[in-house]
Amino acid sequence: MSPDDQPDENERFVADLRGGTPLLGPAPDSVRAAARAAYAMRRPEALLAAVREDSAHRPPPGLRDAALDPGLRFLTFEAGDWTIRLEITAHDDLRDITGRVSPAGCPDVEIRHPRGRHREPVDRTGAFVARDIDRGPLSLLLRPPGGRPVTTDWIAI
Amino acid sequence: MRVRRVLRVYLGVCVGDQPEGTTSTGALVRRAVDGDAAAWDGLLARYSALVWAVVHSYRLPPHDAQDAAQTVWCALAERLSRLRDPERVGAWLAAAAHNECRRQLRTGRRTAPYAPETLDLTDHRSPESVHLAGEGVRAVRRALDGIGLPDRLVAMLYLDYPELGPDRIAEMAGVARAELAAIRRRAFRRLRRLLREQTEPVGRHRVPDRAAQRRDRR
Repeated sequence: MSPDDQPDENERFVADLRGGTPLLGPAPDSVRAAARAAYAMRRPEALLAAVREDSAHRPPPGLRDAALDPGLRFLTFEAGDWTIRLEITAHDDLRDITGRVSPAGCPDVEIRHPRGRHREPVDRTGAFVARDIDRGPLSLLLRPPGGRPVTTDWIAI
Repeated sequence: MRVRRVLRVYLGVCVGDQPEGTTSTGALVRRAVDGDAAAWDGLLARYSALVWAVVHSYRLPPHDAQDAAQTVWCALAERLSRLRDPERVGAWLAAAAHNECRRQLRTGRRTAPYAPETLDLTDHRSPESVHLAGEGVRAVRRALDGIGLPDRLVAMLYLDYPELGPDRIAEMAGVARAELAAIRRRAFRRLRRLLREQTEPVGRHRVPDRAAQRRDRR
């Protein structure tokens, strides 16, 4: 057994390293700001649509990894009878989103990100487009007329 | 009443020996669910540096790292009222952070790991003590770059947050509790060797330490 394996030797080494400047500082302010913004926007009464498919985790069947444009991402969220499909295109630090909500019937969709939110119209087939969205966290909120709101999990786009 | 409670939460989470500092995590979650923004800030104070440590250990480019950490907290805000076990929010945050960072790694267009030296921190101490302590800290940060995950994160958590204790360190690092001691031993053995190598004169011929290499492979 070499001296390196002696536990007390290691402990002394660890103790020597400790106590000075922290190796890592606190989280950047932007993280706390985003956390506070999302907390203010939370919709606990809504149905939460979780990610079911994400090409960033697993490429769609039939598409090899190499065949998938790295600037393109497909996502599917589901909650109850709701399905929300997104196609996200990256250009620099901005993202374009083409989406489809099923069943159709919502007049608009709310695009939520830490710096604010805005609505985009949804057509009769459930399709919508949102252009030039900042990179970072994103969530969608649907308010079906007369029904329970639906919100998606937050994802990084 | 409310003002006093809010104040207590702030003091509690900043000062460890204040009674609120020991408020159970589950209680903070439940109060945040009920709309108490100070309790949400309490959770941030308790966990934001730890989540950041997890994210930072992946050595993502700064923008990706910030996106990942922000998204983890946004996701928790929406999931808060739906958590199965509010007491285990730390484990939830850690798992979400690991998951998001792995996705960022997979889809990131970069080819080389980002050099974290430029991701430095604000430090409020005097310039002299920073200068004195600086070289040692920089050397440790450099050495940490030379060891892989999860060892890098385990070593870093033990150095910056020894008070967490092994159960929570295992939880944050995403390793099995039973394997933590072995990972910790291996991590600090490698860290010691890398620090030793950094301080040795350049150009000197060294006989490779074969015994040490064998131990590291285990």
